[in-house]
Amino acid sequence: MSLLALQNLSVTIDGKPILRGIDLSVESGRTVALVGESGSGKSMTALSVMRLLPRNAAASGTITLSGIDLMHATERQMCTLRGGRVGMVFQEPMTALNPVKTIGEQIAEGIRIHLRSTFREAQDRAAGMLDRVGLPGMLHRYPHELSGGQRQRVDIAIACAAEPELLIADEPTSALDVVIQKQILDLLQNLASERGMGLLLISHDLAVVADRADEIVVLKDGAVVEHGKTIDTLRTPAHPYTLELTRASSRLPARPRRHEAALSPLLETRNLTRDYVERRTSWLTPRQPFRAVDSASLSIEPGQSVALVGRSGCGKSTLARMILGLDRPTSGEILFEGKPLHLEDRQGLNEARRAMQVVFQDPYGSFDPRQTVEKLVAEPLHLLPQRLGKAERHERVAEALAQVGLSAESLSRYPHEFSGGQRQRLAIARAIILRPKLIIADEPVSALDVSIRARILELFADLNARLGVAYLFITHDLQVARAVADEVLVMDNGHIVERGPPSNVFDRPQTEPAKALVAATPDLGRTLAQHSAI
Amino acid sequence: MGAFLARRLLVALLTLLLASLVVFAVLEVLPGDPARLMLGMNASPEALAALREQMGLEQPLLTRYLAWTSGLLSFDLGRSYTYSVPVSALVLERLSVSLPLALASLTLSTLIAIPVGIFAASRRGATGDTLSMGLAQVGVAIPNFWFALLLVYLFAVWLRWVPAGGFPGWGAGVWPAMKALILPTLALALPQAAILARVTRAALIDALDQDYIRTARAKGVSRSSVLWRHALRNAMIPVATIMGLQFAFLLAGTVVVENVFYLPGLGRLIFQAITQRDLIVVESVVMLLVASVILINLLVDLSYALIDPRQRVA
Repeated sequence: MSLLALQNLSVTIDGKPILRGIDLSVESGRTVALVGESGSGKSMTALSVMRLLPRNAAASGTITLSGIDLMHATERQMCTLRGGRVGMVFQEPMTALNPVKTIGEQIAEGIRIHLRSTFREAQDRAAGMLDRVGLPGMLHRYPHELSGGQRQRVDIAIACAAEPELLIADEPTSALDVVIQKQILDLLQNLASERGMGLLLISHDLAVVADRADEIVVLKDGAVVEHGKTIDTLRTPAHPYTLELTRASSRLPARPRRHEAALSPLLETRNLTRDYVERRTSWLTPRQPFRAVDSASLSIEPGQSVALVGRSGCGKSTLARMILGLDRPTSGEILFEGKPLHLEDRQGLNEARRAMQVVFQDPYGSFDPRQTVEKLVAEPLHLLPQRLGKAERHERVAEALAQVGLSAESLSRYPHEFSGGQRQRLAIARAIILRPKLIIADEPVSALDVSIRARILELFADLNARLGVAYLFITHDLQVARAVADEVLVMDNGHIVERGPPSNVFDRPQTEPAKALVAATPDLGRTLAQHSAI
Repeated sequence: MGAFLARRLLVALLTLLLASLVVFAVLEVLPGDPARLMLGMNASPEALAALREQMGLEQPLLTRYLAWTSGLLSFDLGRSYTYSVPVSALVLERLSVSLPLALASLTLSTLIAIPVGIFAASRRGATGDTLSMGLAQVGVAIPNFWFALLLVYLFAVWLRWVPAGGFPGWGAGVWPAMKALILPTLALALPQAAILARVTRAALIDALDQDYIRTARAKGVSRSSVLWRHALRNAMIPVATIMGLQFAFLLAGTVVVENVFYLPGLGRLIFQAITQRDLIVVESVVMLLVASVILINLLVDLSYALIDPRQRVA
């Protein structure tokens, strides 16, 4: 008998089908990966098992946990099963914890419910659980005092506290950088194996699950399209969709024209440093400055594509903000086309901004929902010295949209009518409308599905070839860096620690931070190659 | 937490200082002679001079400001021009009506609103929710003076349980005084409760939709415990904010209801003082109200810090 068995599970939300006849089973001590793109129904499958679907959802089919019929269990029974026999870890560590309770209380709560222990016992067990997930002595901390990776450890401690038989992890690492991702996934797997738990690992990224799952279930539009042993399935996909996913996961866009060395750099930073004054911990001790960026020097030539890689919090976004004139350097110099940039020099800054545009990570949050696409994409045009006429404006927007592969009929639509990938195209259209020489892209594809990610990276490569735009890509994803960059800079603790062509840096990393990044990056090709060698 | 408290106190004191400057400036420094303003255009020069002497208007500005503020600090607020009694006595007398009334109304409205809000939020979309929020909608819409008149008609005129208006004073015994405040308390509390119940419901529903509620449910916490143990405390920030605003209103903004019940409260005092141009009273009462609003805000800020640990560092 399987630990968890789903048979013909279907879910509708307001009559609209979300899941169509899912079959899936998880055995004790085994890891099953549930893979699919956003909207494929992965989370709904997990929530069906927990019976925590949205109120307007209706489910049919059977779900059994060690033979217990979950579909017909009462709410009371479900409360003892949730957390007691099935633990669940969610995607968003920043919002998954109650901000007004200590993490100790939040871990102990499940223990008190399921193991009927006293307050003291529960506290002791919670402390033990925190030791196990690598956060010793943090019982009395509040969630806001922890980093994203630490909060995800707390989530795992909550899910495992009452020793469940099945652990469901819904995209547990999508919001974390690769090094933390590896640590969290290792922790999940170690916990599962030492306690003999079944693990249902949900992810949109094949590379993440390839070397961790015994079995893989591929979901598309709410239905299982393929199901089997992970390595076999990925090596010889039977369904075209699985094949597409494996390709998208390892595809590098062709760079038709590689960069050739130029005489003078487009952008240069010299010993750029940014200190932040930390919050005062006591009135008696002086404030401690925190150096976010430490003497960073880089140079980008016209048409060159440079990737700045590093873990969350290494200072890469701060560096980008200073280059964009959104933050003031503590010391050092920024030269754009040979001219120094100063925040006080409004005119010089405006001129530089015309030639230097930005694309942000979140395609949902970076547009005003009440403005039409025409207005949004036309926004940077105010930086032009002369005002454009209405017709000319319209033409410029339509041209920019055409460059990113969107039709002119998008002009009068609103952001919410577009998918994530299309919105990122809009963001790129907004960035290229001034025909800039440099685009700074801060994690431009990390919120996108793999297949869409590949297409957006192709668009970047294509614009580079056709328009000669130079890029500064900020990313924690080495695959992205490898795909688009002529040169890679590795940043760690505010320093640029390593630089060179992608093949050098990624295949023969020299410094510890670079080695750690390379080792932590999931790589489908590498995993499959390793398994064929065995 | 200690540093947070010290900083808030300092901010409150600075605000108070600034407010005293503004009040003083508005009433004393602006063009026009306060004495003439108080006595009217037809006042005799002798009366004017006497009043100017009494108000100390001949002295330099700084001296007057310092005299006024040190008077405030020692609760010596000068003499009312129209009532010919010390303003402090006047204020204390009115406060003995307004403060119990405000506290009782706030307590009653909170006791009604929070349970109703919780009830409605826990039955989101069900009949109980629709019904209680429909009632709250009516409560928000009804003007409080009209509601007060209805109460008078029902309980004083028809049932004859309580007096229709007036205030016998606490000297006449605690029970008669309290009896006189029952209807005004109801008239003030119920519309406030309607607003507060809606805020409580909305804040709770917002909290119940957060990710951490899902985490709590996934560890086996039941639907009702999740509301009490996880959502309620997170929902209290907007509730505390509205309660603070309501208390400030209850102290001074109740002139209409005070008029309906012939209550000698602070609201009527300031209203009369303004119409009779009794600047000394206006100045003192306004300053008193400013101080109490600052104090209430300080308490609300402290309650934020108690509710949410993230606020303690701000």
